[in-house]
Amino acid sequence: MKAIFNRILILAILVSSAFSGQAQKTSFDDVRTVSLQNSGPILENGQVKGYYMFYMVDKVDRKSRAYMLRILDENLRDVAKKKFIKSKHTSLKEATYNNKAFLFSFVDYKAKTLELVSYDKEMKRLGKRTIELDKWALSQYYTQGTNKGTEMEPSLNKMIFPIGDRGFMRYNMKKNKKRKIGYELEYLPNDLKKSGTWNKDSPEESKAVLMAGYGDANDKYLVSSITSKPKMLSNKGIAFSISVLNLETKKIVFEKELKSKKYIYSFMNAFINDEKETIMVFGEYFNPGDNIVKAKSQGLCALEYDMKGKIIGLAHHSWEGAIAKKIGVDKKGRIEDGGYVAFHRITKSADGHYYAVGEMYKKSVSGLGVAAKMLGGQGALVKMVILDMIIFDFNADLSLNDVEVIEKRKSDFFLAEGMGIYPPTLLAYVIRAYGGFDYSYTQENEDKSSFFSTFSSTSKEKGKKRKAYFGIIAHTDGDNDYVLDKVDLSTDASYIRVLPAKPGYIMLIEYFRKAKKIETRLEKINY
Amino acid sequence: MNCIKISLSILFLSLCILLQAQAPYQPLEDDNDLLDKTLNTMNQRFQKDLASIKGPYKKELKSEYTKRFEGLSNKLKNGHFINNPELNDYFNSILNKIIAVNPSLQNRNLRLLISRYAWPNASCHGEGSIVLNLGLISRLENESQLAFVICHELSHDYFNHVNNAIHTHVKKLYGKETQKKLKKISKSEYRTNEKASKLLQSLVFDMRSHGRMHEVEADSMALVFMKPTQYDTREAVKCLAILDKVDVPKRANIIDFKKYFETDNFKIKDRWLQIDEGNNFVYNSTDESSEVQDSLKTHPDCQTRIKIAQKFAHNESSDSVSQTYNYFIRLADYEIIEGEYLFGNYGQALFKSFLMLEENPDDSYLHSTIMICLFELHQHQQSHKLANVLQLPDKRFEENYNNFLNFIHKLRLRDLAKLGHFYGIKNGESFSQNEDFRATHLCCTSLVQTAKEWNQSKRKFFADFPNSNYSKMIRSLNKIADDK
Repeated sequence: MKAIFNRILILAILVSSAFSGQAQKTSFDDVRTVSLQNSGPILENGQVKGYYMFYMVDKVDRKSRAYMLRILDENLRDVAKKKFIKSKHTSLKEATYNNKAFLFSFVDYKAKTLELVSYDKEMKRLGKRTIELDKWALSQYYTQGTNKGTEMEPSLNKMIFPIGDRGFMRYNMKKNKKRKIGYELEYLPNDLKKSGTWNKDSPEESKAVLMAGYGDANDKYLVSSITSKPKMLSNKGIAFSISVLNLETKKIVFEKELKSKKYIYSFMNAFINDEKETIMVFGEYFNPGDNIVKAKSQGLCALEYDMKGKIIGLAHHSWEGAIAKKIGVDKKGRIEDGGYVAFHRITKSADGHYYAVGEMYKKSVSGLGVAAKMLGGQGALVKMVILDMIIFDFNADLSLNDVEVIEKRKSDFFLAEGMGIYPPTLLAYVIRAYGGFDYSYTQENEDKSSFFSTFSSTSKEKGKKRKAYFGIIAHTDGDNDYVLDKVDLSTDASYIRVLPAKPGYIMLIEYFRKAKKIETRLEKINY
Repeated sequence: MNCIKISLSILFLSLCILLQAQAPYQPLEDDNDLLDKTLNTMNQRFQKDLASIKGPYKKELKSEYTKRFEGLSNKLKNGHFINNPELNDYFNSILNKIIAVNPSLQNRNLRLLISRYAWPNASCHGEGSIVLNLGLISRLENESQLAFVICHELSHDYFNHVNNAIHTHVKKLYGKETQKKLKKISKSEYRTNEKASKLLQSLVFDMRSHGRMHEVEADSMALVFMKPTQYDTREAVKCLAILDKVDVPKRANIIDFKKYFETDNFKIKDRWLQIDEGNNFVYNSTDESSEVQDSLKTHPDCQTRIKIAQKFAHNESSDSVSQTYNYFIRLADYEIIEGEYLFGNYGQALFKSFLMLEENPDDSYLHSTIMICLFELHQHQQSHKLANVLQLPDKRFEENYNNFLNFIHKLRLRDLAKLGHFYGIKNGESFSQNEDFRATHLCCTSLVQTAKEWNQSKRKFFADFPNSNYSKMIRSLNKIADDK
């Protein structure tokens, strides 16, 4: 029964421990060390299909290391182990599965290369490609995987997405002929052969900075969000578009800026409606001329496009109108005492409802910053306070059904000096970029009847120490309530990390420093 | 005197068999005096063994002997073994019968321990203890087969296989050659892991190849030890054939969840019964946990061992007390469930109770175990510790067990809470005066009823059982009902 736990000993994998501990003798424990470099979920269309664990097992020479890639299934059962030798500067960044092939992305920071390696289901190698990375492309990998628990959030961490079971789409940044940052969409067949690869990149002549992000995909279409702005380091003139690519013809079906006669829109999520062949886009709406990054939005919106790029459905829910009827909102668009809302994810359920998951935040005076200033030090006089989770429930006809606030303990995000003058909406981008929100990820079960939005926080009971917990907000079609499940993270482990798991579960990795071991386990979510 | 004691035991057993054939099962109670006696005997032998260690690796060997002794005695103290006079006397009587007719086995301070483990295995620990798992007792058919297994383990003790293996391994590991190699590896900058792994593998492989040779040797000697006894040596061949097919489950009846749980107010949802296909990965990694498990099946191929055993000149005596053994098969099956429950393996205890219930539908012990396990599963899921007490579905498991796990894992906490309650309602008609049934049902009821409803249920229980043994446990449930 103890085999429920999947024990991974960092030291002493085999039986040597039984004969260790003799002071004057050399034991196998003394010489056999294995360190876990990286681990994460293997995703297929947003579902966790397994996990990868990347170990450094040996120094091979001055420049190279022997690594072991261990693949586990969604129940933490070992699937395969692969050993290989790579540069000591290698890092495994991402693992994707498309029901026929695994694709792993290795970045060599010294050589500035991305190595893509694909395997079939038996972990036999299908192909390999090495791509040179310029500094912009490389910069994406430095931040990838640094945000807590955001492995499931495509906008933050994923750069490769499965396309049916035949290949993958890679999103990348690159400079065009005008030396402007553009995007690269590269289709990669399972065998990674050049002959099967094709690109759909931003125009080479574009004078604007263009960046692409994954929206949604089915076998036929890929929806991407396109962000354009005049300069890389400027927040002015930002506009959002959606681009729909036909994966069969390899042609753009349409590309439209997100705007209507009355408003301009930001992009949050896109959904392909397979039956109707339409695209649903969710975002916030602004008055024409507003700076989307800095201005306070007018409210939430949903736009439905047909495959000609025509808006055939439009819904606006203003902060002061429809939303205020459900929950108190002041004239500045702040929710009661809660402050502003940063939206993390919109998910669609089987009964046609859409749920927008957000987190409230506000600016506040930083006692620490003030004290530092008084002592002649540095620090912003204001800080951002991260508040409760908030969920907006839209009916299938896009009318607003309900708004629910899920309470959690507030946390602080300290700003760098001088940043306090920026508007809260702009600072939300800063908090997101640094992983400062408590939110972790959202996932749905396979039939979309339930969804789970997660965050990490702390709780404090009177007379007791503050405890860290992992919060899971669950909602199931047909239930009138949201269930908040709290998983206590105050264990004996020296370090604990929560990873997404198969729907209805979370995966816990616990590291015990003294015993030099890692334990992994799945725990059911109570909902 | 011993003869009188054994005769009385057999008479007592016969009575037990008659009385308990249809009666609800009552778990065995441990006897602390017997436990102390066993620990004392083990300690005497341990001290003797320690004093006998000589030579260059004295310290390392003493350390290994101490670990072995402490490991076994800790398990004894922590309920891994049954210390019940009735059970222990019966199995030790078989051991004593074998020793009595084999002078070479006499004066060796040997003892038979019955472990609660469910997997079919027996083991010799080299310090006088021969361990029989309940799982093995349950799978064998008669005393002769069990006598062969005991003779096999006695042969290991006779040849001193375990201690020789420890001595050989210590000598190899701490010998000049290995230490020189290890030091060289520890000083090398590159590929240290690879070199150390290769060295360790060579030691392990060497040990394993010797181990397989020892099994054949123990089989042959076992038949020699068995021949002068009253037991039928031909059963050795049948015993090996049973072990060859030990992976096939003893009970394979499909659990009909609708039959056990559905009432007018509670329906089993079809999606709970749907089996998840899971992923389509191809698994090609080795399973280390199965390698570690020292089951008889992992010995040399059973078919090879059967062929060797068949060549032996068998006696033709018959198994004289098979009826008594049948009683212990039933007892082992129940005690396996009890053991799983005591170890906190609530998923296993629940699954095995369901399987046994098909044969014993009126046994209140099984009904009560089912409800208390459902209650425990709920409590562990609520505190996010379900992984400690219930396995995850796995295609490697036997299909029936995997389907059972799939069903339990599909349940949301609120549904799991209802299961035990409605199980009690559906199956409780004949057990209204059974304290165990009513108490365990009350535990499950605390998960679904309002505080007011539950207080009424509690009052009714105490009206029927004013001096209940469960009163402390039931009072501890007040908080659950109040918190709802």
